[in-house]
Amino acid sequence: MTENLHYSKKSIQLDFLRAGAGLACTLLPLALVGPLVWVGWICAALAFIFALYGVRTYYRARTVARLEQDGLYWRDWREKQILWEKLNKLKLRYYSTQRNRENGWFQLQLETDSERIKLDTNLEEFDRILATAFRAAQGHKLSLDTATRENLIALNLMERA
Amino acid sequence: MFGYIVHRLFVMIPTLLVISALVFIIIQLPPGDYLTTMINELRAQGEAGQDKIAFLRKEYGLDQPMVVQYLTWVGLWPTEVNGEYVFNGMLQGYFGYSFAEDKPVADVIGERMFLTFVLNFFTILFIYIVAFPIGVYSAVRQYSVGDYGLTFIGYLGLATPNFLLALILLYVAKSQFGVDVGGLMDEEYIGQPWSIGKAVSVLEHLIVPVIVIGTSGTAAMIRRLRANLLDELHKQYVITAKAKGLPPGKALRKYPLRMSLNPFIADIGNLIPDVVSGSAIVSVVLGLPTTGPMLLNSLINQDIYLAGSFLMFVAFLTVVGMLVSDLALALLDPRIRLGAEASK
Repeated sequence: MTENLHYSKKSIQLDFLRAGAGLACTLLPLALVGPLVWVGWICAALAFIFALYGVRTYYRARTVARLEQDGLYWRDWREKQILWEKLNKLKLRYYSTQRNRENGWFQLQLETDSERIKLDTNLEEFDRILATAFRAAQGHKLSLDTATRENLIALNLMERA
Repeated sequence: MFGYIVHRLFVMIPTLLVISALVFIIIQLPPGDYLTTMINELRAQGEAGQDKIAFLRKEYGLDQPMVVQYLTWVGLWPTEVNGEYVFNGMLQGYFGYSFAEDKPVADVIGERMFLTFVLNFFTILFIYIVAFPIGVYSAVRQYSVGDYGLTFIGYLGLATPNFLLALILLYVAKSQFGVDVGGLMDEEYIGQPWSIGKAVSVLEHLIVPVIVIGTSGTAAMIRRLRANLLDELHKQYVITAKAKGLPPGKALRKYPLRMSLNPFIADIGNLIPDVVSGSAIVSVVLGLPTTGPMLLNSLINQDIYLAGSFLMFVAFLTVVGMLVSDLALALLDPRIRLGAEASK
């Protein structure tokens, strides 16, 4: 029996906190202290980005994934599926906001001709999904870009040529 | 990537707030302030009574606690203007009052801020345009005569203080060519409104300061690019690519050059404060109407709002530069780099 996978509660709470704090830091000055016009525009643009982030976090909180033998099944605001036999692109990216690039997160992008799913380290069983997707990519002899290869090597999923 | 952008922006907001608080604390740290000095002078002349002192302190907001002064300066605390309480700080475009110049800071800075921006923009452009081809050449032709020659010039550039180079160029230009290279425009354009002639004059006068300020940055960048590119060129994949018959140009451009560009991108943020602080002394030597000499005077005079505004300007540019370089780096090279610290 396959289990439903979700983004971790802690990461969702932190993301909501970021979106809320970002909105507060940008909307409050805009509403209360009457900033200069161009400062106001910057605040409004930042507020819009943080609002979008809040919406994205809401959908991440509702996201349910299932890792099956034949593919990855996904439901956020709509249902999607990546069947391993149709996988034609795998990208693995690493992001960190720290100068020493520690405490970052991986983002995995899986694509077929018709669907695309992006998920990151905060999703339960991320490692298992990545390993399965990589095996499928190897099976199809997909060509991987340099960054993806380096990241897979760092995760011990691939050996340096 | 969207998540990364938001994370990075989220870090930027408290960073700017902390920097602004630190700037304010640092400029307040030396004992006394401009007004105290002024009052002491008035006292010595027997012109200052306690009433006048109290009036001046209230007028300039120096009787308030430091936190209130800071929040007022940033524009997050209302002040009384013509009997009404309004927000009037940096967020509203009011950078405070220059005691030394007896004018609002914005009026004092005026054109200087723009000229500083132009000078630093061209300096950074110069650094990148000159360092890139030389760095690539030095790495590709390692230990050649050209590499040794350029490396020697690079070391000279690194070792020569900017102000010394400025003095030498001033002397050579005057004694050998009879040309005065000081200033940022011909005298007839000083204080005049902007015109094509004035812009051309500024561009002509930019050449010397850009070379002087940019030399050390260029030398450092050449060294870094050369070292990074050499690291990449000695990797297995490049040797394999060459062994399989890939043309040398393509074997260079395809991956090694791209990978070695990281320091170029990562240095956008670091270059700005270096160039701005480096240009301050050069501006004094060359008599450039930039913010550098004014910053120096304001720090000596304890003209807190003027000094604070300059420092905030530099800090803001640095934080924005860091943001741009981080975003570009995340876009171009989203790899995990194990032991990145150790390899620096």
